[in-house]
Amino acid sequence: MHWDIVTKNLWYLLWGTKSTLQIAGGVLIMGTILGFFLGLLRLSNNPLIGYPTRGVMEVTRGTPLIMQMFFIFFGLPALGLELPKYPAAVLAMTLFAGGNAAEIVRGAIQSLPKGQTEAAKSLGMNYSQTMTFVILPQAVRRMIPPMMGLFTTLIKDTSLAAIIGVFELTRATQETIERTFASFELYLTAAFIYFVICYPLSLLTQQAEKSLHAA
Amino acid sequence: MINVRDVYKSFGIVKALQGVTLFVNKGERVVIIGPSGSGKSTLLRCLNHLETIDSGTIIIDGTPLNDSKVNINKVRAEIGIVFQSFNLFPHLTALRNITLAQEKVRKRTKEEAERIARSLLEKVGIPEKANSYPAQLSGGQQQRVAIARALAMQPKIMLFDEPTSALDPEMIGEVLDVMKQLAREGMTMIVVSHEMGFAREVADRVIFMDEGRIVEEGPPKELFENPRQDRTKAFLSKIL
Amino acid sequence: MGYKLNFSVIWKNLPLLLKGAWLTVEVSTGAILVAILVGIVMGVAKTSRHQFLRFPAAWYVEAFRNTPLLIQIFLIYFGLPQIGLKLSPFMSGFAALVLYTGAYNTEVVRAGLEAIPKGQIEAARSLGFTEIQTIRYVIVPQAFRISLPALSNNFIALLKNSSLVSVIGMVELTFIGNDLTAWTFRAFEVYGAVTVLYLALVFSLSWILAIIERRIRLLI
Repeated sequence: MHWDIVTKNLWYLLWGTKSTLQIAGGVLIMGTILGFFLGLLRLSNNPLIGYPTRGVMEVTRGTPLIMQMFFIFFGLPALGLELPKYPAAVLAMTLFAGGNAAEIVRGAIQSLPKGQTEAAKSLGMNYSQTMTFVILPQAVRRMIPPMMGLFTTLIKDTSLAAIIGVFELTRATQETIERTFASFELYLTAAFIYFVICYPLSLLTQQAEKSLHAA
Repeated sequence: MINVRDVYKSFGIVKALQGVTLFVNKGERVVIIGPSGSGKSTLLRCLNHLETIDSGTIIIDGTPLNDSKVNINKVRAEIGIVFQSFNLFPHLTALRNITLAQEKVRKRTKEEAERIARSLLEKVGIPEKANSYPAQLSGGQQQRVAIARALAMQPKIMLFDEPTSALDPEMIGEVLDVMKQLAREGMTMIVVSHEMGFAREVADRVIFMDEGRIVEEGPPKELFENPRQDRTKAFLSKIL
Repeated sequence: MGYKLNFSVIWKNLPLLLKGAWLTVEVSTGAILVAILVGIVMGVAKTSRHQFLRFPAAWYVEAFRNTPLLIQIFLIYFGLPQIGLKLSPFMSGFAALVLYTGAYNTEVVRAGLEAIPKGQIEAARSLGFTEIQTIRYVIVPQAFRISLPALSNNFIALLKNSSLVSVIGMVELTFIGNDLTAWTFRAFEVYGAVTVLYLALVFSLSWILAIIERRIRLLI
């Protein structure tokens, strides 16, 4: 075992970690915004809007993220849309996050009792008033725990961007292994860093779920 | 038949039973009343060893319950209990709910168990529901299946823990009718219930419990019309 | 731009792609079966009264759920040989998929066991069932029914996750897609086709699992 290799290269791994968090955080924000749009469109009564939205959600949620990355990075240039690896990975992850966030938004809204919408309508509120003042304030509370879960997933899935060469924690680990050959120690260290970030997040998510059920 | 002597039971700091002594003879029908938290359900659950007691003795049909040598499952098979929330097995049909323990605990054949189950469903008035699942039955029907399930074990004693309090008013009658019929047949019964009409008609003895103790007991007519204790009077004035 | 879409490469290589899809189905089905076993054993351990069972099960779940599957695959395939445990690409990939999915299954089984109302156990015990009989006839059938939808979801997630084992050279749909791209240079068409195949697999699997769920609901 060569744990000294780990200590010597730790700063490099942490630099990768910073990149991992930046990508995951940025994707979470963009994905949530996209998710709200898709989720609300998905609930539309107009089938010309509802069905296509559903299609987009099914594709992003029903195929492996790595395939979406390959398609965007390697496949899209055929249509003249050549993206560098970093934007390609971020675009793929944002679509993936958007599809999943949309499902969270849809689920949260539909989990509210129908009586809430009926009560709001009976008071004379229109669609956007009902959404803004009655439905969304309640639904957003229900979205928080699964959105936190999505964030944990995104941090873990950022590792996939390494496969198309994006610099983040997994890529930093691979590069260090190429120089030092200490794959066991370094992968274990990377796993440990991911764990140190994701485990508290999981605990927080559980906490949020509990307080939601208690309320 | 049932011999409860100086039983204490607490849950943490909550003292549920504080020295309860009670004798019930074979064939006797006892109704226990009292405010919530008075320990009446706890007492019933102790009789079936669903709760273990802290001190005192419970002897059922000559068998002490808190004796480690006693096979508690054998004793339990002799005591039927009907719960407030029915507790039917949701993954089994009404018929299967009634036959399962007969086959696995009483070791009866499938045919015999089914014959008994069908005759009991007849007795509780819903023979046509044999193949329905609990979710397809009304509360009253579920509770009648639960009674049939307990009776199928041919118990010597039947315990009822507020059997009608989770039911809609129009379903209470059908469950009480089944219980009255059982009483007429001479079953030893202990019933926790606030159905005063039932108590008046069926009970040999009514027991009023409060704060983990038996406050007063006597024949229903006497206890309802001339309660001696103030606490009994106060309670009865609220519910009668 | 000089690139012209040409889907004939897909039709010509369709048997190969379909074979890849079938391999993905095989690998996922094998892995989910083992992972369900893992989930049952660890789930029971996690609800155990004994700390020495509960503790390792809890840490197994947390360790494998809070690290990326890709890192687990790399650690098993590249890392373990360094401490003397060399596994083939297939065994490494399979082991990683089983361990990762097993951790999620453990949580499902635990939740299923805990979702059974206390009254069910009391009703069973009051009828004279022993502890073993109560587990066998009352708890397990109900826990299984409660867990089934979540286990199905884990199966579908596993099918998608199995694409990652291609990076260590385990042959399945994604691997064949990469291979085909490498010698036809038709990334758009090939990855498009592979995406459609995954979608078809996920849809058919959801459909089959929904039927199985209904059947089992009727059976037990």
